[in-house]
Amino acid sequence: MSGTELPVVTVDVPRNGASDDEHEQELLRKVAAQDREAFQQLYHLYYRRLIRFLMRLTRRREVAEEIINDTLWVVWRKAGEFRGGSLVSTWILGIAYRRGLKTLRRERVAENAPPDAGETEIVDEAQPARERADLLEQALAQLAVEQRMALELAYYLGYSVEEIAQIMSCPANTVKTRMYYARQRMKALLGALDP
Amino acid sequence: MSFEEPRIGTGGVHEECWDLLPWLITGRLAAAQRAAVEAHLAQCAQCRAELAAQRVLHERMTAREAIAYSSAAPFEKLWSRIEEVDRELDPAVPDGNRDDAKHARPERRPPQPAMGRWLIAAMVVQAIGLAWLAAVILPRQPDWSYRTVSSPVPATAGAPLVRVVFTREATIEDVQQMLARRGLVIVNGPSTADVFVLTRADAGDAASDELVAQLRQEPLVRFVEPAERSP
Repeated sequence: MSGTELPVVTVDVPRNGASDDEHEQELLRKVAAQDREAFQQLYHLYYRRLIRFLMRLTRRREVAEEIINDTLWVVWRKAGEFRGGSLVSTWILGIAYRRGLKTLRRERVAENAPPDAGETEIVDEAQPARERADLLEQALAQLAVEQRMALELAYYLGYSVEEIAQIMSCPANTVKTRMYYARQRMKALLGALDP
Repeated sequence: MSFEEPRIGTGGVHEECWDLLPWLITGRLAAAQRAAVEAHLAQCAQCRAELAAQRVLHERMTAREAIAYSSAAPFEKLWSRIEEVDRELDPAVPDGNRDDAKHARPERRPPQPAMGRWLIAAMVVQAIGLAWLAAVILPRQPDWSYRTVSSPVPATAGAPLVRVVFTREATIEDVQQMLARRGLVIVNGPSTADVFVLTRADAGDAASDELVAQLRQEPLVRFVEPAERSP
């Protein structure tokens, strides 16, 4: 690859732009006024964003949906307290992340200690898409929870360093550190990650 | 020019560039950061190789899901819970309905055949167990009389009142131990939504917010909020 060729990458992930946030702030204002149709819209919007994020955290759909409902329950009750200090989505993702961690601690679901050095590499030799996806899931499952979530927030949900720091309630440098180790582990587990 | 793979916290342009590569891929760098990273990439083969590897990982992670989950059933489940608690907190609210059109639901909630037998059985077991717990604890309260959660809570002491929902995994022993450890007693519940009203066994002037904060640290407490004392 030439060092001068850095094409702009269009990210097709359900993340927020400024207009999305304005729309969501409007929905949240209506939710604060107990507008249930607005709540239903917000629910469906965030279910799509949260289900895979939380499935990567818990690996059980019923648990992920329970966390989503706990999260949106808090949104329903606390919408009036949102003061716009962050994006609506980082506020809601932050609630989901904390509730997810609490659920993990409680149920000890899918918890993985950071793997030891020299772990067996997962061989991926031009498998069909489904197999590649399975290998990706296996590799992600071997990451520490915080590393897995940082990777998911950055790559799947498309959040910036600062937004991830808000969601995970940690400094920006901690986000970079978690991403650093996540990237190293994923390369080791999935091979060289050659295109 | 040759670089070792950077180590976190070592500082320097190469390390900073290396750290920011994921957000170059997702287009989430500020303009100045992006310019700096691109300038470094032009002269660093190792960062270009890392960028290529991370692009592959990013593509795999954003691949379309083979399975799409429907949010309709879980929303109905949450909505039932909200309606139930709303009715308990405000008995004047009609069953599953509000007066003004804004609050009207787009469609009526159908019966809930999806609620599994296991869930119903678990609720029955939990209700029986917690009723037993209440029976063990409540005789210690000299002026106890039956009330519903929506009934006014008597202002017999200065102790704070909180509404609590325990996790479905909470056992009788867990709840009993937590109540004893924190010096709490059940003064109402469980409601049909499994809401309990708790207070301190010894009347004190601690704020309910303080008690709420303490209970939020309890792993077996799913929800907790202050309860208003009736006049």
